[in-house]
Amino acid sequence: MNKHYKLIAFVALIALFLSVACAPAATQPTSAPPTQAASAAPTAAAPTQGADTAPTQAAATAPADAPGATSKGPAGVLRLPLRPGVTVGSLWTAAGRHLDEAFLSGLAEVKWTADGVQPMLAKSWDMEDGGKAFVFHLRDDVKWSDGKPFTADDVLYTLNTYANPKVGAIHAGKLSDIVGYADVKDGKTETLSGVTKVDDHTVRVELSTPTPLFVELKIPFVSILPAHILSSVPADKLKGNDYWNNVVGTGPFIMTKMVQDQLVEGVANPDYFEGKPKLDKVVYQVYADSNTMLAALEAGEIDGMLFQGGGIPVDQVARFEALPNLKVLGNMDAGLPTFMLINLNKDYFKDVRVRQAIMHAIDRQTIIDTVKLGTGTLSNTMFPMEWARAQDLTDYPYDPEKAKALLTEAGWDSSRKIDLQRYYTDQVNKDTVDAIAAQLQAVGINAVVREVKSAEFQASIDDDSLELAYAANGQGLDPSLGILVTGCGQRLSVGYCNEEVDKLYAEGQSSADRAVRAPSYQKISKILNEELPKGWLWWEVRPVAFDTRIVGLAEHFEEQPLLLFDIPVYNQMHTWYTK
Amino acid sequence: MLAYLIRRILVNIPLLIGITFIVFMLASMMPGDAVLAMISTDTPVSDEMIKMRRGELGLDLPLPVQYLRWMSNVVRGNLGYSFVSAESVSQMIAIRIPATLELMGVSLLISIVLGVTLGAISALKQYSFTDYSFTIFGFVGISIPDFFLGLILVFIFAIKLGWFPTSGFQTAGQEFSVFDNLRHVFLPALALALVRTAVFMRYTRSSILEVLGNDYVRTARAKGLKETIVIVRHIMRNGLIPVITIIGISLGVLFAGSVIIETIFQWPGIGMMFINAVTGRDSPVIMGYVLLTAVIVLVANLVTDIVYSVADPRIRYE
Amino acid sequence: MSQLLQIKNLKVTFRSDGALIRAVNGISYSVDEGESIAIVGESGSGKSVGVMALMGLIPNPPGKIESGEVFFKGRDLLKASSAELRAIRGKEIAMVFQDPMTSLNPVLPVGLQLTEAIQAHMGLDKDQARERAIKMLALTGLPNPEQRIKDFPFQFSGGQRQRIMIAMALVCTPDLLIADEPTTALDVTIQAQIVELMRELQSELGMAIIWISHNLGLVAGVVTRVIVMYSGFIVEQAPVDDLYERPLHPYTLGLLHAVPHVDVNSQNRLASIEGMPPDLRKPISGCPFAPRCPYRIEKCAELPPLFDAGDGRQSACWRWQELQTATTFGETL
Repeated sequence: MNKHYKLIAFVALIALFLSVACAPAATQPTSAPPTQAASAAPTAAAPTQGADTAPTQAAATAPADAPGATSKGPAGVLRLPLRPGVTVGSLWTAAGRHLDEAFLSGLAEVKWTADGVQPMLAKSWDMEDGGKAFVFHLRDDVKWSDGKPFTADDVLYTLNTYANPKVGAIHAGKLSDIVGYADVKDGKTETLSGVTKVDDHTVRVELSTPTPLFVELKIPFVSILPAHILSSVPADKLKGNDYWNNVVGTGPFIMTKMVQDQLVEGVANPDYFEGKPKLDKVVYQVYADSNTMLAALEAGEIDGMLFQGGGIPVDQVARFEALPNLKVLGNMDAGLPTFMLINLNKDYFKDVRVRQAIMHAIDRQTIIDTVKLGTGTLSNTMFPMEWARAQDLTDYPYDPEKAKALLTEAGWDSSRKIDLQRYYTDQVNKDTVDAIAAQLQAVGINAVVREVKSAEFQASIDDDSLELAYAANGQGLDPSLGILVTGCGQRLSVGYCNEEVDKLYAEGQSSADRAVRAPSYQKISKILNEELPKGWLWWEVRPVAFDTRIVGLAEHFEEQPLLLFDIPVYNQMHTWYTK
Repeated sequence: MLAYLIRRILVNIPLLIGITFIVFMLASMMPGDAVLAMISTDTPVSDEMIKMRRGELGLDLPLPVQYLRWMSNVVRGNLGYSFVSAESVSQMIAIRIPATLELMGVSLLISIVLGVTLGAISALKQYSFTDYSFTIFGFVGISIPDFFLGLILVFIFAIKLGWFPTSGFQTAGQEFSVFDNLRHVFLPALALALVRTAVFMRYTRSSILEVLGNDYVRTARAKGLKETIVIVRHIMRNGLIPVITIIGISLGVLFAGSVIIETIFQWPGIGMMFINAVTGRDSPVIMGYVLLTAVIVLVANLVTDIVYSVADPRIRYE
Repeated sequence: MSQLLQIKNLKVTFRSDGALIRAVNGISYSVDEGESIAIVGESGSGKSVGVMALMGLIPNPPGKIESGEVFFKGRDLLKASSAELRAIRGKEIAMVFQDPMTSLNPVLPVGLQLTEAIQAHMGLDKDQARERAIKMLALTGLPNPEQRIKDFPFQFSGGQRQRIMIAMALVCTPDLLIADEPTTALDVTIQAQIVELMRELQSELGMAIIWISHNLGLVAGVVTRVIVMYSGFIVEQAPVDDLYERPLHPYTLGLLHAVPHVDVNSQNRLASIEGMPPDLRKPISGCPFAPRCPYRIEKCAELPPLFDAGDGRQSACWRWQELQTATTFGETL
């Protein structure tokens, strides 16, 4: 009697357990032990890798008929997510400079419409000598959140600080055109000789070469810091200074609470120079795991989704579209060219026919249609903007026979194992890279996929052990950024160097007029398309979603033609309000 | 006894050195370092800059030298500064420890109380339906990974039913309230507790079953004692001694936190700090965490042994 | 002397792995006040199970008392409630077990193990109970009882522990003491001491004793009557001297001749009973000893009853009369 009880109860409980376990694991095969990094795009901030577990994806891909949460956010409060590693301070973080959007301002900031800059702390500026010098006229009605007035001293302090190598600012290189930068970089002095204070509200900046786009392309990377608070702090002690826990700034919000890598709170700044914000409070919560972020979005605990780190995975967009309170932008152009990163220092990749073979081996359109669920568009160049692309780019259609022929011509050794690195961990990208590897193998390139974390990937660039990698990087701001990945001597060029390309880049910066610049970039795109230092694959989308209770948030993103990574975007945050 | 204590403490010192050295070497063997972990392909940094940053952090020194530098700071009471955020490591730990203690404390309390009770009942009612169902629950509980359970709980209770928040320590934007905090700790604590309850239950059950078969239990009954006295004074008093070991081991876990649960639930404890430090190759933080947990575990072992000797008179140290 | 304990037809079974083990198959005997008897037999004979059953210490499951009556001071214990049994256990019937190391609770001081029995049954307060415990320990020959009541069992020698066990059993002055192989785990010299102690205690306190043993020689000096059990049956019962001089059952005969004598020529092989004790799971068919018995006849296929052999003797053998003249085990009758 006892025995039967035991058996029946055992079987029943097992059945119950299996049914619960299998329901959430609907579509995705769970793979890998739970110690993988979050789906970290290289565009995500540096020390961002929280532990994302494969099973979290399993649970997250629930059937899309979920009832979902109704908007239950508090009135007057905007709640946004953040990735970890951002709260340390904007000088040292690459991605997610959203904190600067709320608390600090720059002289000028890129408009969300991506067609120029908005004057902020500088109400206007004059260009001299075709870009050899700029005179900034600063606003005189701006106060720091501690009441002190904003003056030119703050601008000087900030520019000197950004340039100072002891500070370790990531974007120090943006100021490399300023006269005196070399001396600061070598440690000979701590002030840029090319920056002078004309009066309390005027600053003059001299450049070593004419750079008409200085304000559009360099200035937005700098957020102005308060000299009266920070000038007494030694440069190497700036990072970790308590200032970052109590940021005094000129932005629409004033920081009231900061718990490092956990949350940041701010209240509306009544003296904000563009007008008091309609929202009362802004709250940023840090999420190390992007699936936790998605869960929070679904439960209505945050009002939006970040595009850094991958946004909403394309296979989960439907789940969020089903929620009535969310506006989902499923086809948000990320301005993100994805490519096969090829190490041109390796002899076997030096032959352009091998690189052409790689392009012909991959069936890009089919991958887009199937694995990527139709999102993304084929690309043969890295410039997102139409005007920068040549019209007659070679397409490299899917042609495995041609690929094999090219490889034979080039004397390719198909027994050589090629290490193909991947640092995205979401399922769609995993499947994509697996598909690419399979197609490469089919033509005789023995590609073996290896998942790595960011640090490992960077290390492989340094020690030249990199062979192939699947990578992407944001180019949305301006085509001139392309030099960072294709210029001579650049780390990310990984062995590629073409003097003519470098010359064309320099030409492209010689004017602010798009019509004048365009031919240079079109030529560059044509050369790169033929020389194939990288295998450009497609443009990515980054689906994002926002709670409609915040009026202005989703609307602003809808007007944004493509996502701009890495810099604070002027988006009229002070006009948003809750319904 | 005092001599024994001193001996134990002295033995632990080389142990700590050994542990920290090995961990340091292992961590340093991971590809990449803190500087490389901080850059991304979107913010190309010149090789010069990388070299300079490395030099500032002392990453270009040979490994044993780096270790000695760290160690010499430690003996002076300084755990160093994070490579990533330049925060003082001891400060970082101090800020985050309370959250970990709360989460682990709640879950351990639940699992010990529940586990020991259920295990005892199960043992006393051996072969009954209660025993079998508890046993099945025990097997299921031991087999489920706690993070998986956590995800299921989030899916059901936070997303579908909305009874609990999906993550975090407190609702952002609001003032801290104990009730709000308890709502947040519930799901992660439950995920951890259910699995551990099963483990403790099995352990207690087998321990008590073993005692049940002992002759002195028979003697107690032969003396005509009330069954309650037999259970408490004779069965439990002996059968629960191994539970001391359970609690002792749990102390180590209490401070180390659960890395995975803290990450899934975005619980701001030192477990999450640790995993972020590992990914970011943030050596001082890694070492600070390892040192802390190693010390706690060693202390917990020592305390457990002492408590054991108090509970069981057959064990005495000199 | 009135009858203190009377057992009638007690049957006890155990369930193990689906098999039914017939441990005690209808035994009957009685004990008078102040009398001391021994129950001897090998392992598996049912000697311990029988007395555990009367104490109510058989765990159920897997054990079960199938039938029988156990009258103690006129009351049938098998029909008593567990509360009633508890009141009797330790107070009126007490037990001493085989291994004093495992039978004492290792983490409690020995004093407590005595006083808890006192306080469970005698309603004395703490100090009175303590006094009584010390007195009892002194009575059992434990040196320095006042200091040593706070000590733990592992701090005593084997012999001392058994004295503590005995003190624990006798602390409420029971009418019946059951000693289940109390000396088996001790050294030979200590054995003698304990036996002597029991004799003294009996003459001092006057309780009846049931002494269970597998050692025939040991019990000879202590008891007046011996019951021999085999395979769950009583096979012989006799006053102690009669049993040793003239056993009336082949098994007893075999046992007595299996005991090595000092003066026996060491070159002779030890006499032993051939064969193995029966498997208690098999149903009973005929005399249980028959397979090993040199005297078996056809009639032994039928289970022999316990014959009255006169002079207070009983034997469960068809040929008991013929055995009166047997001198060694195995000769033809």
